[in-house]
Amino acid sequence: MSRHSEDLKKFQKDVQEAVSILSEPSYLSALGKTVLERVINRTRLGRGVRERGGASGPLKSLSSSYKEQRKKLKQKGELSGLTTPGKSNLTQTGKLLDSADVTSVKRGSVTLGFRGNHDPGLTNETLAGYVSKDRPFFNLSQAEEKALTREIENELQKLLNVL
Amino acid sequence: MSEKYTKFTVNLKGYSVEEREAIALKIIDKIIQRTKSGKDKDNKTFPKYATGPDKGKTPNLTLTGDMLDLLSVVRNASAKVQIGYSSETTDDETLGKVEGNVRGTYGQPTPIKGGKYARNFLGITESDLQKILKEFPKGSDESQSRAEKTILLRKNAEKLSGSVELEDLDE
Repeated sequence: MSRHSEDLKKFQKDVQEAVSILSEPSYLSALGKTVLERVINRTRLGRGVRERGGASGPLKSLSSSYKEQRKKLKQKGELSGLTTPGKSNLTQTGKLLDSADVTSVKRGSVTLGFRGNHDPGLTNETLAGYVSKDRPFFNLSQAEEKALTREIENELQKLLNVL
Repeated sequence: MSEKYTKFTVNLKGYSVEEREAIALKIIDKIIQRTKSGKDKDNKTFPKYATGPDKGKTPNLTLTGDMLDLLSVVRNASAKVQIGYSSETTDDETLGKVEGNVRGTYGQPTPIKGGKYARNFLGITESDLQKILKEFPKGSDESQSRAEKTILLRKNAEKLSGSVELEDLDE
């Protein structure tokens, strides 16, 4: 075997070891939270994503009547500071998006979703599903996928420098 | 939108296809890091915001981060790499943003004030390119090895990214 092949074979082994470390629940949980932050920030900026790997785009506008409703909420101090009456960003009180979290994690897999109740008898997960029908948002865009890959690559590189 | 404003070419004659790919990935990393620090393709600070809540501040072309994250290797052939945004795989909105920044048009048909507010981030100085190429000594085993390792790392990262799942809210 040439020196080049031996070197690459050793590198592949080191990469597998690094991948194994990054597949641990503790790392994946932290990675999941980073991804979640980006998805939620993007949604709060008024942008949604229809399917994983797709482009992000503006969320469907609010109806005039709903905007009026939100104006009244704002006057009463009941509209989140993270939105405005006319902005479509799935934010009224802020409770829904704030409830996004890591819902399960195991070696090799982390799942992101919604926790808790929004109102009595209405879970945040159910509400998220309902609002997603017209304003899909809970998917990773193509750009977000690439950012995730870059983040993981940086972590792998750090581990390889240590291994 | 014109393709000439959404990609640029780097001549990498004498390098293998893997080396060109790896070098291009390093160039992309450099562009993203440099742009986020508020500098254009010539390492000059972007023109400050002229109006709005960020008036007087230096832009870094990062709101959601989408535009920079979509920067990719568009073509790798014939001793050259093309870096930027493919019109086939990039959405029109992003292409429009890229051209707007590169030309300083920002939605207008022609550059505003002769392009005074252009934020051309698509490119790399010869000096920065040479720093990257130093890691890939032409014709050496070291260079080919480094290239293969870079690509292997990217492939493993792509695979591991599939570990992150978002709950299907339709269910």
